[in-house]
Amino acid sequence: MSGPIDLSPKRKPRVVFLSPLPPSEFGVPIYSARTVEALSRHASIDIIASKLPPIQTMRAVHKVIPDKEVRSLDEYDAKFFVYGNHVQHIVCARFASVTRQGVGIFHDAQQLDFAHALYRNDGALLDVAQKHLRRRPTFEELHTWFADRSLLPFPMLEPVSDFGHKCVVHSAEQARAFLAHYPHLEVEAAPVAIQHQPHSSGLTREAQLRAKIRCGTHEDQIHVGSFGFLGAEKLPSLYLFAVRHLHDWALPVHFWFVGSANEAQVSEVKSLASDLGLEDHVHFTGAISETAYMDYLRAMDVGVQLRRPYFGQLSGALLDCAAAGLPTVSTHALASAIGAPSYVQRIKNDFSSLEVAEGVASLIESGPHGDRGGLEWSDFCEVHSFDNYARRLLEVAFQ
Amino acid sequence: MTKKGQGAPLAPVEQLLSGCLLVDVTRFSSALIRTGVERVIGALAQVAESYPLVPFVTRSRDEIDILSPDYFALVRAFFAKDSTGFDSHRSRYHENRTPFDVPKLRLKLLAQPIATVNAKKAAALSRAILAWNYTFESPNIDFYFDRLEDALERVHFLGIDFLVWTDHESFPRWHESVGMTRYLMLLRRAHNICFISKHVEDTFQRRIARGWSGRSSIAYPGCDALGQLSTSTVRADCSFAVVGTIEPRKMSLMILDVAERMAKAGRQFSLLFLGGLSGLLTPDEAARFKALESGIGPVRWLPHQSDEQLRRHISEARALIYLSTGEGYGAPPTEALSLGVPCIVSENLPCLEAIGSGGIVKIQCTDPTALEAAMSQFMDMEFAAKKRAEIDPSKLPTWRGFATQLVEWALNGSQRAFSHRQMLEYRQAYVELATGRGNLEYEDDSLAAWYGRALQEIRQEMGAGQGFAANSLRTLRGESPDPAEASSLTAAAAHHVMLARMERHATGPMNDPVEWLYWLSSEYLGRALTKAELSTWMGNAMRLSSPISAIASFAGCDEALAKRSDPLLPLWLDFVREWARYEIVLKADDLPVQESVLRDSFRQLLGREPDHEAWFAHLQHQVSTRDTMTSFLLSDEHLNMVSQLWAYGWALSRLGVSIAGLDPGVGGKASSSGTERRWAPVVMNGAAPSPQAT
Repeated sequence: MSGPIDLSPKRKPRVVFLSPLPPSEFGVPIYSARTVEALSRHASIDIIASKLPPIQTMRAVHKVIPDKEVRSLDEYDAKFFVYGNHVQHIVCARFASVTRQGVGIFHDAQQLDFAHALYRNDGALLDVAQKHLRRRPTFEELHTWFADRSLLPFPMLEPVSDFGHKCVVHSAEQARAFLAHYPHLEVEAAPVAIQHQPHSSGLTREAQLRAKIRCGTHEDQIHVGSFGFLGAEKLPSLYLFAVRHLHDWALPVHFWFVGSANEAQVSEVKSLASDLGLEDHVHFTGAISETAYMDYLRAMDVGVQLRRPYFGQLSGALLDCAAAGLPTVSTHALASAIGAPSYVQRIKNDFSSLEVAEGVASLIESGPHGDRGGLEWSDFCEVHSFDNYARRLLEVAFQ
Repeated sequence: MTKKGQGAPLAPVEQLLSGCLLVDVTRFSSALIRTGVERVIGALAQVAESYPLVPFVTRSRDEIDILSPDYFALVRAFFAKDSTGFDSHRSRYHENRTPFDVPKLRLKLLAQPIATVNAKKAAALSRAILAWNYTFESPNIDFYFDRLEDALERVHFLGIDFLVWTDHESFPRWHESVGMTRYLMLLRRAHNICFISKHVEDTFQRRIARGWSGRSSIAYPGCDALGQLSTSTVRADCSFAVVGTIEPRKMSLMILDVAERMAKAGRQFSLLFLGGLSGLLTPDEAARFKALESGIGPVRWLPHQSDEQLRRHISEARALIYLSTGEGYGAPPTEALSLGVPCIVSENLPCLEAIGSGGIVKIQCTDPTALEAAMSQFMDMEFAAKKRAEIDPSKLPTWRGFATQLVEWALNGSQRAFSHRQMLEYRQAYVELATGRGNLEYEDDSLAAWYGRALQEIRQEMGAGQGFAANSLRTLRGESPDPAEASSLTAAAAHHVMLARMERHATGPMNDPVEWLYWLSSEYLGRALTKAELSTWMGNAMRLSSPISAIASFAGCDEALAKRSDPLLPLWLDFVREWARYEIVLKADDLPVQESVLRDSFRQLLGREPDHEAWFAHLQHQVSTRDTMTSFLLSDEHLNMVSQLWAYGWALSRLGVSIAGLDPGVGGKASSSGTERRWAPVVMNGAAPSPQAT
């Protein structure tokens, strides 16, 4: 699958792409920049931004239009509006509310924080919820939704659900969930692209050992890692309970939380580790560079990426683990959301710590794994390439 | 007292604990439940008269409280099948909207310790420790971690099931905790575990404690919780019973779908769902069952059935339906078989290991077609009779057998059941423990009390009488007793036999004044007991309550009972309601109101202001240190207060206070010995009070 997609025999289509872009540092801007670069192989891309994006993105686009100078988007053949559950996406909604067409790309399976930022009061959220639930929820219920997204009874797409978008989501389950709650939408799934794509040379056993040295993880120990921001949603206590089971089964693994975390959560997890006699076997990297992040993906023996499922939300960190060829334990829902390869060990969506531990033990006991990668890995990486993703976006826009 | 084979005399507590089986009732004591795994405690209570079982609760990780041996007698009563008295009282509480949590309050009162013992020492003295159920909470779990360090071989666990870990999707709202994880850590380190099925044992060895190589046993739970019946008669009307919580795991919706489809097709049958609604159903699913509660169609839902109602519904059924995707054992079908009723069950149900295939139709539990086919088979009278004839309830496991196996396993197979004589000798330690407390108000009658209970236990075999009492006393003291003392003991023992009889009927001690009042007004008591018996019982029951109620009991009961149709009784009832108000107010955390009610009560009772400022100040201090009055009421402090309250009443009597112009009378006979005036144990039918009391 290479070469420009044949959209028009006469000229490249003109596409406008609205999204937070770097230098914003959270995940979606970086992902969007890579998307723009991939799209630019097939189309002439204009972006709308309040700040200049990095030079690499600048090179890929035809034009960067300051957002205050935009008069109309009618001239474009296709328009993409990127939505995430973050306040920075409000500007996309502002343009979309005027245009009322184009493709909405939804990075998150729910838009609660986005809606909250837009409406600026809880009462409006309750008004929206009342339509779905056919009763008015309490403020306490609303607060439980903020605390645990798996309790949110609907995806809260209201701020953008009437913009006439074709919607692109990143998993078939997410598409089903959106349609279940918003049957008027047109929803398509596009396989999410891999942001942290290691080269196959970084997957050899030798590369793993070098990474272990850099990360300080001894070769004669078993190291299990969970990647991404450490918050309550990640259910860290269950990871520790699972580690305790593994220790009791004579598998004294070291467990790493790789990525940033809020201090209160780290303190809570450390206390729990102490209660379980695991204080010497639980580690936190804190916020680290992308290079270091890739090193930890190589240095771990097993990955664990878990979350209670809601609306088909996928796990970017699981995608990273799969892209790194790392044997990983995850749920059926998360694994199927990315079409994970077989080295992702699936456990039940409603899992217990015991089932997590059994999954990890099974992967440990089936080792040593030697080189990572292989045909299944390369197929997975191709399906989840930005090029493939860009083609799918354009297919949706022009179908 | 010297223990055989040892030179040094043992203190009573050491005597009691030497070679005993310590039974942990910590969790059971915190919640009064008669169904499910709690039946294990009921079963242990059944054999408590034959083995040296000592109930305890963990006070801290270093100390345990030894409970009275009466605990098991009360548990037996609590588990008695025909406990309609309790149920009716409970419903009356609810009707009156009183806020009493009667079971909890009563259990707290039951679980009064007779000794607090160093945990390590207790473990070392005992033959074994039995932990019967999940133990997630501190200090209970810490106690076991320490015991695995210092008494590994003695600690015995009962492995019920591990469904919350292995079938977590059936328990989505069960949040794992540190305590749960530490519980598994405990079991993995344990040397002795008894499982309720081979299935549970396999799960443990394969998934929970991979490669565990401790000493295990399997004891199948009893089938006889609802009794045993054997009849080959098949009723003409075809009904099915579905027992258990209405929840996805038990395929309740599939069963309902099948039943409704069959009913719609004109099949002639009825089906009863017997069990509460689980919170795991969606509102729409729950609504389907709620609609069946008031319905008159062939499919109905009857929640909250008593044991008696359950027994009737199951007995009348053509077959019981019990399908489940995951169980540790699955007791309801076994109980149906014990009642002679065949069952349609999941093919992988662990209880099938114990009950064989007689009377059973096994199906794949998620297959509605198979269920419909099985139900259709039972609609044929001939088939139903054939399946019924296959059942032999006498071959099914019993709870007594379960408890016997469990206890003998924990005692390492070397301990056979005690003879009654041996048991009596063993109980001597209890006697000493109780009498050695220096508790004045119990000093007089505790000896008689323990012997009375011993007498009750063995009277079937040896007969009751003065000779036995004398022998008992001789055994205890090593010398012949005074004949008058033996006579007094016999009378006191008879008194306690009577008390125990009433306790059995009441499913608990009569130390809750409100429940006691309901009993007082019941026709049963009016018919069954003499006036003297009643007043004796009332006196003793109220003695455990409060000075107000104690005073009322001693002062008012005689006249009240003599005139059961007299207006005095309603007045007295009003008083006890006032006492209830006192309790309610305590819970309301309102000291001024509480004091006001208390004062009013005294005015009503004594015709004057209370002169108990010091006591009340103490009460205020106690209460003001509590966040809520409820916690106070259920706290150990409150339990201690109960005895203080009694002491206060006793003090009043010593001072010769005339109570509302009434003599204390039969209910709590006051005896006088110069200035050593005290309440004596009560004897009935004019028998002499015990010599110690005079």
